[in-house]
Amino acid sequence: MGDEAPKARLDPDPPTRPQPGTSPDQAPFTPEELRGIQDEVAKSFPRHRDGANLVLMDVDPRRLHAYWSVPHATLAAAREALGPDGEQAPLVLRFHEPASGSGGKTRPKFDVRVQGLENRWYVDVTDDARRYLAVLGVLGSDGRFEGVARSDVVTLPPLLPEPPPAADSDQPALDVDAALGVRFPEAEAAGPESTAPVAEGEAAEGPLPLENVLTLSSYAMGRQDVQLEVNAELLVEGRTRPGRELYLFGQRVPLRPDGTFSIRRPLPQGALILTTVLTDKPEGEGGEGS
Amino acid sequence: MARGYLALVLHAHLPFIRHPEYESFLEENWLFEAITECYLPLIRVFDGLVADGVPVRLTLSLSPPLLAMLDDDFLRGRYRTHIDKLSGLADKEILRHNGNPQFLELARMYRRILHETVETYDDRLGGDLVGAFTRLQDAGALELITTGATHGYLPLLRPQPSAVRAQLQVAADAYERTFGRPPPGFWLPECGYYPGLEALVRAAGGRYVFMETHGILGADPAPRHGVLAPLACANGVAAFGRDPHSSRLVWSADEGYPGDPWYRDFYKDVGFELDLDTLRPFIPVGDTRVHTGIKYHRITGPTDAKEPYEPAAAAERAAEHAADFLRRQVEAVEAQADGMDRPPLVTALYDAELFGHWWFEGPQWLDTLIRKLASDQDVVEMVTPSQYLDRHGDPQTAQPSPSSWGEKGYSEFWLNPGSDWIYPHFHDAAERMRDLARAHGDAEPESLAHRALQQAARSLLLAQASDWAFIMKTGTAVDYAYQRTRDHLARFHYLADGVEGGRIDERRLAALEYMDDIFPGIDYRVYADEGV
Repeated sequence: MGDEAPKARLDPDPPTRPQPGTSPDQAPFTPEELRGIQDEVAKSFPRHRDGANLVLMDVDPRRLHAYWSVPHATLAAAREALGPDGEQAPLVLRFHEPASGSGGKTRPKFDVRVQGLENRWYVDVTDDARRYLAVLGVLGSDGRFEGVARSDVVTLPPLLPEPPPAADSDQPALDVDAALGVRFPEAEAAGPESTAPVAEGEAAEGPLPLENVLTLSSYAMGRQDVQLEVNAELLVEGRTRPGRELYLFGQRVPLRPDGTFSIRRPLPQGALILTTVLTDKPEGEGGEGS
Repeated sequence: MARGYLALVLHAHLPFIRHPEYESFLEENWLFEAITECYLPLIRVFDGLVADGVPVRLTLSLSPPLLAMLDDDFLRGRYRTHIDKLSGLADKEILRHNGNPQFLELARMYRRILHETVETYDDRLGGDLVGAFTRLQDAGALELITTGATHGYLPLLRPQPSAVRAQLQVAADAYERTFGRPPPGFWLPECGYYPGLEALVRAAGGRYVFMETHGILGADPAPRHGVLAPLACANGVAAFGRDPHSSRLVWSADEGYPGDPWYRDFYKDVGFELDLDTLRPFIPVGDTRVHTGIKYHRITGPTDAKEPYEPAAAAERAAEHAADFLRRQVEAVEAQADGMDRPPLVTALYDAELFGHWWFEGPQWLDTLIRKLASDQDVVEMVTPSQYLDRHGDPQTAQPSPSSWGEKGYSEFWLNPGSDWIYPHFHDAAERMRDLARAHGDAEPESLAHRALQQAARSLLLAQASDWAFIMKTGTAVDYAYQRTRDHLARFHYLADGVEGGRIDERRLAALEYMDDIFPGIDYRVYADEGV
C-alpha cells in the first residue's frame, strides 16, 4: 500500500484531456491535500439507515443468505403486541414457500432463530422447494408471530443431477452432508453420491441454520476407537462504531470498515464470561462490559 | 470447409487502481506487471499473426476499468517510471551473473524483453494500448467485448435492479465512446448469471454472453447439444457455455499445461531473493518486496529445489502443448459433428492475465496454436461468437440456469462470512442513487449538483467491483479491499449528502473527480430506471 506522507509536491504531469470538473485555473492537488480530503470524506461511512429492512439472497442451490436491519422501537412494538411474554420472545426468520400463481396461499416452511437488530445469517435448505420469502419477527410462547420486516421472493438455483464442476479450482462441490451441517468423514471419502447416515427424523425437523451448525466443527461416528467426538466452537459477531478498538478475551478484535466483527474460537469448557473492552481510539476513552 | 469451430475468448480485467494521493502505490503494480507481461506480449502475438497473414479470430473482453487505466496519462507516466526501474534492475542482474553463463543468458533475456517492452510501448504504440486493440479489431483479428462497468458481480447486486442496469449500460456506453460502435457481447463478471439478466443485457445492446458449463447444461429445456452450441434466451440473447475440457487443459493445477515442469516458475522471483539494499532502488514502495518478473528457474516439480529455466526447452513444450490442444479440439469436433444439426463449437474461456503473467509461455502457446489452426488441419476453424451466430443462427431457445465460474459454481465466493458485510451497504447505496437520480433528474449540466451526481455514480460503481469481495475471500491484500470498499461508499454518501443538503464543496468534489477519474461520459440518470 501507499508510502508514508510524502513531502514533495506531486508532479501533476498534466493529462492530455481535462480532468472532469477541474477548470484549468484551479491549483493542482498535492498528495497531502488529496489525502486530507479523503480522510474527511471517509467519515461519511457507514451511513445509518432508517426503517426495517430484510433482504434475502441465494448463495447456491442449498443455501440462502439473509441480512436485516430493524429499529429498536419497531422490535419493541412487536414484542409489546405479543403481550406480557413478548419481552422474552425470540427473534425469528420465518421462511415461506410462496404459492406459484397469483391466487395461491403462501405456506410457512420453517423458522430459524436469529439475533441482532442488524445482522446477517446463512440458512441451509434441505428440501426441494426453490422459491422462498422470509419474514423477520418475534415468536410468542403461544405460537403467535409478529412480523417486523419482509423480504422479496428469492428463487434458488435448480438442483442439478450432477454437482457443477469446480471450474477454477480443485475444490469439491457442495455436498448434502455439508448442507445438513455435519460432516461424516466416511461419507466424504465415498464421494458426493453417498448418503450420510442421518438419524431418522433429523431431516424432517427442517434445516439447521449455519450459525448453529458452526458450533459442530467435526463429527465422527463408527470408527474403531471413537464413538462420538464433538468439537464445539464459539462464534461471536457484533458491531460497534468504526474506528474503535475492541477486545474480547483480552485480544484485539479486528473490525471491518463498517464496524462489524466476527470471530471464531474453540468453545472452552465450563462457564464462559465474555469480557468485552471497547476503546475510543482518538479520545483514549474506553468502556468495558461483560 | 471446417466441420466445427473453436471460439477462444480471453477476459482482461483489473480493478481501477490509481492513487495520485501517494507518490507511489504498491497495488498500481498490478497494472504495470500485466502491461509488461501480458498485454504487450499478446499485442505482439496478434500483430505478428496479422502481419504474416494468419487468419485469427479471437474474442477479447476488455473491462472498462482496464481500458480507463490503459488510457490514463497519469498511470502512463508511472508505468514508464516502473519500467525504467525494472530495466535498471535487469542491467544490474547482468553484472551479478557475470561468470555464470546459464544465469547470465537468462539475465540478458530479461533485459532484451524489457528493451522490447519499451520499444513496443513507447516507439511503436506511443503508450496507446487501446489504440492497438482497436486496430486489431478493425483488422478483423479481434472481437472486442465489454463486461460490467466495474466488474460488479451482478447476481448479488440484483436486489437493486438499477445497480445491475447501470453496470451494463455504463459499460456499453464506455465501450461505444472508446471504439465507436456498440459492444457485440458481454462477458458477465465472473460469468455470474441469473434468469432475467438477459433483459438488461439486451437493453444495453448486447447480443450474447458467456456462461459457466452448468448454466447451459442446467437449462430448461435441456440443451440438445450440451455446451457445443449456444442457446438463445427467450429474448434472443445468445448464451455460449464454457467447454470444460478445453478449460481444464489450461486452468487445472493438475492437468493443465501451465504446470509443466519445463515452464518458468512464477513464484521464485528475485524480488523475494535479492537483499533489500540491492532491491530498494528498483521497487515501488519502501521495503515491500514485489514480483519483478525476473525469474531464473523452472517449475521442476513439487519441490522447493528448482532447476534453472531453459527457454528453448520451454518453447518446445509450448509447441507440443499447442499441438496437443489442437488435436483434442479436432477429436471433439469430429466426435460430435455427425450428431448435430449445426457445426459444433468449442468455447474456451480464459483470463487474459494467465497468458504471460502467470503462464510465461502462454503467449507462445497461443501464437503456435493459432498458426497450427491455420496450417495443420481443416477440421476446426477459429470463430467469434458473432460470426457463429451469423453463420448458424436460430439457436435452441432455453432458459439458462443460475451459475458463475467461481468456486462451487454459484455465488459463495463473493458472498461468505468474509465479505457479506458489504452487500447491505451496496444495496442501500444503490437505492439512494436511484432516488437521487429520480429526484434530481433535471440537474443542469456542469452545475455543482450535476457534477456531484455524476461523481456519486462513479463512486458507487467503483465500490461494487467484484475484485474487493474476491480479495476478502482469498485473504491477500484484504486491508486494501476494505479500504477501497469503504472509501468509495464514503465518497458516494458524502456526495449524496451534499446534493440532498444543497452544500457541495467544489474543491473536495474536484479532488474526488481527480482521484476517481473514470467514465467521463457517465450519465447518472441511468439509475433512475428500475430495470427491465
